[in-house]
Amino acid sequence: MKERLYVIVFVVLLGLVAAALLTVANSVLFPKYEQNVEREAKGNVLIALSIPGWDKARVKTATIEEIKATFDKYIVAVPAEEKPDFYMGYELKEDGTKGDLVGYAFKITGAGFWDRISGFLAVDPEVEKVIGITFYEDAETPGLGHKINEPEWQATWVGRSIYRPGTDEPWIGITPVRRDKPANEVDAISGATETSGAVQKFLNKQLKEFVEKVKAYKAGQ
Amino acid sequence: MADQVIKRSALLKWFKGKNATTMLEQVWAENPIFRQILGICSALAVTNLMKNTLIMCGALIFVNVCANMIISALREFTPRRTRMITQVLIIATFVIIVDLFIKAFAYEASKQLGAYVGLIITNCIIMGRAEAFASRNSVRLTFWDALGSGLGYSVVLIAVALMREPLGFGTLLGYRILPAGFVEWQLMVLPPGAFIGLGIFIWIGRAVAPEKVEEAPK
Repeated sequence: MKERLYVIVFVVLLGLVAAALLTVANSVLFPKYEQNVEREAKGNVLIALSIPGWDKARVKTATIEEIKATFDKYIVAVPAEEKPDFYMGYELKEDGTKGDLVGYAFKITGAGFWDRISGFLAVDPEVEKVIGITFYEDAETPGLGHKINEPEWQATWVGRSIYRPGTDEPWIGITPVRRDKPANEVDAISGATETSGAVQKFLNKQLKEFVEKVKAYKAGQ
Repeated sequence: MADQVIKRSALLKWFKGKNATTMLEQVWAENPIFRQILGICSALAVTNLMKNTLIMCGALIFVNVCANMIISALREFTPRRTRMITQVLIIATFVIIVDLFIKAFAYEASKQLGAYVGLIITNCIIMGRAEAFASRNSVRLTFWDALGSGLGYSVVLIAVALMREPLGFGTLLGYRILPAGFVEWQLMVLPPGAFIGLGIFIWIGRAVAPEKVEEAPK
């Protein structure tokens, strides 16, 4: 009986000490981690909307306060919640106030070939053309699927229509290289058929949802 | 200056005899990777970039040393029946701390390392040393043993990364070291490259330090 009691006391004490240690570590380190996540999310909205002076390198080196300040100055989240449907980016006027709308950005995320891919897609204020795309999370094959991060490939997205020609159905194709491509298709990445297909799949699903939401929002304005 | 000399000699004094043999045995003669073939999973997964490799090695050494020293300190008080859960609880506590630390201070690397930091909990090297060594030796000896097996793991991982990153990306620690015309060898970045690299090192390790084969009784 005594021995059993000792086992219980020992395990409970050990558990309490471990829990206390983890609580301390968590309260010190978790806010830092959350800051990193916020930096990534907000920074990539700035990149997708091509806010002047903000690129991947800048987002990595800037302080979290700088990113937050810029984000609050240029970007409005709709609705203003932790996980908004989309973001609206504005120009900055010389007197420091918000200028014209430059576009909308929304999060794209889904299963890639190896692991989750996440990024942002930005479209113009008329919700007709792509103005930027960026990815911040992927584990695709280096040299093949990982090329979705190359600025050269991302640049081919700019100016693409987001609708099937002649219809109002949102759809962007990531299709094999060929002549006379419709305005809503970009070239797929050679050797990364699976990654290209995966991006096309989740991107279009979320593009459709975004277009519905943004149209409802505009109608309500 | 004089302080440093004293410190160094004190360390040397401590690092001798059984302490030294215990540690060096783990680094070389009983190397966890190429002798015991333990901890291979993370060794294959993280070695395509030197930076990730170093972070992983640091994490493993920290968890190995801290957890095993505490397991050793508690060995007289640990009821035999709860030995396993005690060890796992202690190891898991340190792994969670390290995981949080990497997420807070090396966020990019934490995304690339993914589950492998968390999987240190089940790393055979740590579990193996806890059960085979820490649970029956003094804290001081356990320190050297854990440090040795951590270093033994690190030596092999760093050697494999030293081969994989330059051949696969043309860089080392992110800096370009091979000429721009070098055609990157994609195989080295992918898991097969790790198998080949690790295979070569196990082969070299075993050729240089042949296993002592106990003679079968006649």
